[in-house]
Amino acid sequence: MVGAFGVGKTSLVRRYVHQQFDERYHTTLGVKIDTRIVEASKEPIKLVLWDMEGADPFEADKRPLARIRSYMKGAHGLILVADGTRPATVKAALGLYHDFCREFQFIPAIMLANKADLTTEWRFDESVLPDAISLFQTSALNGQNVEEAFTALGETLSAL
Amino acid sequence: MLSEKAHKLIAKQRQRYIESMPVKRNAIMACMTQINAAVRSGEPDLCDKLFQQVHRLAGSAGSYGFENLGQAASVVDSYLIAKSLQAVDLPKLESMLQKLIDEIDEITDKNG
Amino acid sequence: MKRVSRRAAHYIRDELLKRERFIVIALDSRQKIVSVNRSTPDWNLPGLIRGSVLPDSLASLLNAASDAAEPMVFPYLELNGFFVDIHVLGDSESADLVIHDVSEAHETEQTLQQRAHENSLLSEQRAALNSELAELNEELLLRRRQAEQASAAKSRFIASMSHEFRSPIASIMGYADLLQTELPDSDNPRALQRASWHLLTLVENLLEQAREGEENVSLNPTHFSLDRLAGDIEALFRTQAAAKGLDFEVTSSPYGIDVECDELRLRQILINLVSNALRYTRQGQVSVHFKHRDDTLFIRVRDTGRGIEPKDIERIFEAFTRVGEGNTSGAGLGLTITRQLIKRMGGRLKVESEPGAGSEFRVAIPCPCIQGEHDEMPPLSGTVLWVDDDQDILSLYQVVLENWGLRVITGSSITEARDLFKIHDCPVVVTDMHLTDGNGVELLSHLRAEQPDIVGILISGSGVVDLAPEIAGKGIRAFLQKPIDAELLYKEIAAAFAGE
Repeated sequence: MVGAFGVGKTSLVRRYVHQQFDERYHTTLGVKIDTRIVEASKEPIKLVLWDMEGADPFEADKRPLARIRSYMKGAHGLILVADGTRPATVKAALGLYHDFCREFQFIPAIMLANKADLTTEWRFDESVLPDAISLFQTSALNGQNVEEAFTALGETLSAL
Repeated sequence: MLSEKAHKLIAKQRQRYIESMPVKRNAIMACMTQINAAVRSGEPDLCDKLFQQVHRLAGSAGSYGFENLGQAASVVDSYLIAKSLQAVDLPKLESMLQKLIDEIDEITDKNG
Repeated sequence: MKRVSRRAAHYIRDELLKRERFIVIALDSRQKIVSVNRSTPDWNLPGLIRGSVLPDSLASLLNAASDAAEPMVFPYLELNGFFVDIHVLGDSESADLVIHDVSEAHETEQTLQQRAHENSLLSEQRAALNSELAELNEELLLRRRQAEQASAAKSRFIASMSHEFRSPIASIMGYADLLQTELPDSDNPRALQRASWHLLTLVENLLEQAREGEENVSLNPTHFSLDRLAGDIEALFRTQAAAKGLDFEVTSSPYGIDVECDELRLRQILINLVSNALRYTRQGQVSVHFKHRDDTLFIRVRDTGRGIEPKDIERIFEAFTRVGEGNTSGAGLGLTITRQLIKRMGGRLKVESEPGAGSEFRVAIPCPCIQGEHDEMPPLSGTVLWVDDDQDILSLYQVVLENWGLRVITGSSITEARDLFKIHDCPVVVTDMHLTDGNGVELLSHLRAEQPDIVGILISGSGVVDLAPEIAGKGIRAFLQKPIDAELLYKEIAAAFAGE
């Protein structure tokens, strides 16, 4: 799971794996790993979720990418996470995707436009998304679309 | 010449003057009756009384804008000035006074 | 560090192991744990048992590193509450995992990163708010510009409408004037004129409001009688005041003067002030007083109305504002326009008010007095004794002379006149020739004996021209016939007071 800092990657994992939500922001430094079995139509799949530290959406700072580069090498799928109320984070997520594809290979990716509960501040523009990436408007706060998003990725991966 | 306010006040005065006409008329009529009697009895005072009434009328009527009345009164006034009671030509006097009364009546009639 | 001695190398190794904690896992080709070595017994991680398979999390790392040419480092991985760097050495045949506890370093760096991220998020929020603010500002400006344009359009409309109203009103006034000459005895044409003036001033109010911004509106001074203006104001509001049970009084001084001023605007001011006074007074009195002095017209409008709170004294002049409760009539323009007009005319306005007791508006406007064609008659002053036995004459000429500014003492006989003369100082004496107890000449002789410099004017109803020789040189100035020519009377009295 990659994206700018503060978009809700850790909260999404916490919601998906533990059905919990803490509204305080604790920055992730490094990587956290969680697992959950998703019931895909073919067979159950064990998703090993690597929750990466967030990149700075405004800086051309490659440090995070450098640090987490090792982790990205072995990934089977990418979960791009953006904050629907901060347009810069969408750009950052897509930037990370393109960097990954350039560096490594094309792998299945989904985009989670998180914080969908903040309807009045929502400023997400779908048009910037490439067709290859499925979009889910999620909320780790109220659980909206979280199950759906991970299940969908599971489906895609099981199909490979 | 005179402000509108003055005109109003004068108009009020004029109205009062008109309203005093009946009284003046009666006074003159009374004098008339008495003179008839007096000429026969020779009393001089009555002529003076009449003269007084008529003289005043002659003086005031014009000031209040009643020229005809003033004129009629002047006629009697001039006549009486020169004469003593004995010299008065009663019928002539009476006819002059009648004209005067007529003028008074006209004013009272016109101005209600 | 190539040429370092074994002793030194061991020493460095030992020192390192004192400070840092490591677990080294040796794996076979099937990712089974062959051995687990801890640098210190008090740090362990669960799931690392000799003979068992690597836990999933670590296994996935291995896959990533499988075809790496060099050892791979997986920094800051969270493992059971600890943060570790994992170094993967070797290849698919045999591998070593060196797990290095970096929890302390992680905590320090995490604190810094937390702070940095929080600041960054706050900045972002602030920037977002600022841009929203900027958007709102722009919209506000746009709306305001639109509102201003609408208002200007409205003003132009009002102005053009008001212009249109003026000419039919002027027409009505013209016809009212004609009617006045055709029906001199009727009061109605004058009432029509007053109502037309009222209508005109309301229209002019509108026009004035629409013209508010303009600087160069010219005044239109005319000659008019101050008494007539006072009379008009009195008549205009008399009924309205009576309907409210209020006393209404309009006075002016001095009598009979003409002034030069923009009459229309003056009327506007008066109508506005008096309407206001009547509107806000429920009981008591409204009084209007004009005074002309030193080429200035002073107007005072006083009422016993509800008064104005000190905090509201400025606000009452704001356009479309009505102060206090219960005000539904009127557009709220009157005082605004009044002040504007007074300013335009170079005058001053002052308000004094006591809430609950009433208010007083005082206006001073520069306004020269005219001695024009209308008026060869400046006001006179002085005391005149008038003697006549006809009360009708006395009443009439008392009015006339007082109107000229004189004080009049009346008497109807010589006796009465002499008594009055003792009490009052009468430099000029007008007397009828014919009195009940004597004649006018006798009276004048008596009076001259007491005061030689009095001036006498004789009046008579009969043709007594022949008396002229008798009266010559006896302080008798003039001899007038009844009915008295007012102009002549004025001239003689004026001359008498002037000492000619």
